[in-house]
Amino acid sequence: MTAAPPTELRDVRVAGLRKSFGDLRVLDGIDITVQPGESYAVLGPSGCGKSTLLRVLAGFEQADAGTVRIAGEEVTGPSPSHGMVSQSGSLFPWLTLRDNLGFGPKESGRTKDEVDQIVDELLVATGLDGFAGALPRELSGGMGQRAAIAQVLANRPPVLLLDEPFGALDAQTRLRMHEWLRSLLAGRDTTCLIVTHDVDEALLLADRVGLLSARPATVVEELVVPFGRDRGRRTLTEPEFVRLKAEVLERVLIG
Amino acid sequence: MSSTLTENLTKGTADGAAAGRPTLRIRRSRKWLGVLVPAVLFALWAGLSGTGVVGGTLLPPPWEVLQSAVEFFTGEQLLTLPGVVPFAGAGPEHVAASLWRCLVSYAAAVAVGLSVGLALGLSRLFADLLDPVLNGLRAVPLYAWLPISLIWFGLGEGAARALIFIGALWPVLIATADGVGRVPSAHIEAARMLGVPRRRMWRRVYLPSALPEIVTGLRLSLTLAWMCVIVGELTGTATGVGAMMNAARESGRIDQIIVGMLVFAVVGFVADLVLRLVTRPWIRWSVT
Repeated sequence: MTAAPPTELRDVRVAGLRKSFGDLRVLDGIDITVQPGESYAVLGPSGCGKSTLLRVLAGFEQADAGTVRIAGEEVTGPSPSHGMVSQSGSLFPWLTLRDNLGFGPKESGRTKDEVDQIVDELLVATGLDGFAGALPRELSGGMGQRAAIAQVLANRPPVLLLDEPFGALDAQTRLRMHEWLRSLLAGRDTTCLIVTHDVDEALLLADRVGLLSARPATVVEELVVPFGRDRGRRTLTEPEFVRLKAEVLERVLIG
Repeated sequence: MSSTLTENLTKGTADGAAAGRPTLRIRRSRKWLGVLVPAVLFALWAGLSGTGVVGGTLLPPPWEVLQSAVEFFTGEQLLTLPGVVPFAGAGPEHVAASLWRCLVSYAAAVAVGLSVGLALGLSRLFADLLDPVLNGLRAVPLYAWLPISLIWFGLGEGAARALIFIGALWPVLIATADGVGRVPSAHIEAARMLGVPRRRMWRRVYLPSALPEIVTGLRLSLTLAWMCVIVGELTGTATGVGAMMNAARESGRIDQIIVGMLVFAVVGFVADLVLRLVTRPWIRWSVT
């Protein structure tokens, strides 16, 4: 694996991105810039092309036009430097949790000691240190998604891409996951781009939010989230949060 | 099949802690029933042999078969003329010969089946090229390979090995191709994202993901290989359980033939059991 890029290069620059599937225009000129270390949420109505956008960013889909540069390099395919976590996670069912977390580091040729060190650190960070030998199917939904995020973080990616990562979880677990992810990212300089239709999720996790229109999608508005880094369940009931949420919901629903 | 159905029904309708008990009781009673039928058949065999209704040379009584079995494995080996297949005390030797013959061809079939199956599952081009040929060859009934094997590889040893190989080849080959072809694309994408290059993908993703199907293929292949051993040996090998049975047929020793049948059944059962135990840890993740 190449050395991690310097912090100032951990950015995402999406310019003029267009993508169609046959006659269906999905992305219609997307421009997004995410600063190094920033958390950015792309918020949009269901079926607006959010997941397509993230799949293009992750390198799984080719754009018809426009460019994606992540950490200074043009994206030409999937890579450990911009790992993506989807709603269903990407844990391999035949590997134990320890081997799942060590999958990327081992693949990049690190020694066994290095892999163990990375995995041990992530097991603690995810609160899963008692489950190193468990199989993915033995983990609960929330544990599985934390593990899936840790699996991608094990490669120390400059940019983390999240596609509705907690969409399949119940509301309480989801809120706990939001608090956990905030604290996890607070200790790192990982740039994070998260795609979601959940306004709470966007406002809790992101420093800035980009609102997408209905298909074909463009970024219609960007807003700075005015809350500090210390957000959690209490934030949800603050008047300022409620007001902002109502405003954002209105715009998302209008499209 | 029916016991699984009952189990599911019980699980589906009962709830809470009570669910376990009725399921267990049904299971136990079914196992007992499974012993009942062989016991009745055996009693019938013994009874009829005693009265002489069946007995005589066509169906010797069970105790004679048992005696022969003991003789086969623990009897004193007599000097035999060259070309005569020994019986007394020759059991271990024959079983070892049959097993070895089976395992050599099985190993070759597994090696070829796994590689070709992987290639078929991984490469569209390879599959398009080979599918018609393989489907054609597979349509040839197993024992229809026997005449040509006899000519190509000779009576006995050569024909036996060829037949076992062909019999064992298809299940593992097809299971591997199927399993590899059905690997969820999410796993492949995840592996690419985590940095697995194409040339290592088969080992890191395709093979482990397809392992449950492959193990099923391995088991089926072993069963078929063992079935082909007897056919191959009946064409005239010097050693092996089948060779013993052939000699017993020539001398009209039905008790010895039945001993051979029993040995085939027991060894086949044990071989499958061993394979299942060996492969169980590999597929623990997929067993529910």
